[in-house]
Amino acid sequence: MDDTGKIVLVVDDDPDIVAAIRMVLKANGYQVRSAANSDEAMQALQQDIPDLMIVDVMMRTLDEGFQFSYLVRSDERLAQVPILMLTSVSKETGFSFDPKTDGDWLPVNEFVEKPIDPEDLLDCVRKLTNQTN
Amino acid sequence: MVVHDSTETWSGYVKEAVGISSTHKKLVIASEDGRPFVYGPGQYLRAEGGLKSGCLPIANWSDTEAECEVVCALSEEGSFGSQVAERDKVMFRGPLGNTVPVDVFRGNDVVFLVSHEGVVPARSLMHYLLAHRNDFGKIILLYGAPKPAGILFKSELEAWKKSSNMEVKVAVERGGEGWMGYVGVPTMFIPRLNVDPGKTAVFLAGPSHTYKFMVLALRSIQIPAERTALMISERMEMDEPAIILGTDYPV
Repeated sequence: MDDTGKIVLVVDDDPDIVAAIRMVLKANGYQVRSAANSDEAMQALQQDIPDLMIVDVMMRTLDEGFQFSYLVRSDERLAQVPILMLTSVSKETGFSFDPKTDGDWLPVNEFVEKPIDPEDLLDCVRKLTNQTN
Repeated sequence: MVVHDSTETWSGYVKEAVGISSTHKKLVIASEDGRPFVYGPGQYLRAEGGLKSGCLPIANWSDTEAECEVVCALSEEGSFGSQVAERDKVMFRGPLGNTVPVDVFRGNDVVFLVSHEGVVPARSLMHYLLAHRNDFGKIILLYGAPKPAGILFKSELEAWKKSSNMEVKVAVERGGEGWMGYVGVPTMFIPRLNVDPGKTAVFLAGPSHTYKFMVLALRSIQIPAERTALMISERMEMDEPAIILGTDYPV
């Protein structure tokens, strides 16, 4: 499946993480946009709708990523965009999260703890962007 | 005044059974011998006796009545709620468990962050606050239900919405059924909550897997753990005190 040109929006306040994800995805034909927080992300989403969002949890607040996912899921334009939550919130807080059991409290497609191997990231991204076909 | 000892089993009866949603009913429980109840928000009864058994968080508060209210689900086959009816006699124990530490809440604005059946013990605390209104500041109820038909105590929620210095926000996880309100989970109200974290206490109740989201949302707006109380429903199954302070979470 040719993923060339698919758009991925990375929402993360860590520029090193964003740079690393950008490098991996661009090398595999994805277009990468980025936002450092949920406000910037919502502004970017006014311009165009990505094929996938990769979202951190702990940004300006401990749960900003969760709050962002609630906003996205309540917006008809954005509700179907897959979300990969890529975060170290479990390590930082001791809480474990799982979209399968947390239901509407974690309305994301995949939840992965940082750090992630580049190949695993690519596998996730391919799987989730192919779901939008 | 001779009251029920929480360790004894006593004979009660269902004085009244009223549907409060498409999924739940409220029971008024009275003691056959007329002895009054003394209970605080956060306590529960245990119905005993074979098929008619189960843990029942107390849903109201009163310091004068010889009866109390509990809520049970209608739909679960074999459950207490599916079997019990008005005028049924049932053996009970309780009130069991500990109470919400209202002294921690006194003098503060109070936020309820509750989901699903967590609104049941929340109502008990709400009744207490309303009976002692001058002791508390603004009251804000943030309540999440699974769907519109599952919203409990609708008429009471409407009445509270109209009360001065009270705010009620309800969200449902699945809309439809003509629902025009919020769709989502109640923590989505937290970022825009207009409270002073230094003067706010919070009561959390709901399915246990939701507490990590609630706690993170509250920490994000600097609500201190020592002014947060949670109800751990699994503890009721073991006849243990179900109310803990946020400083003791996770258990």
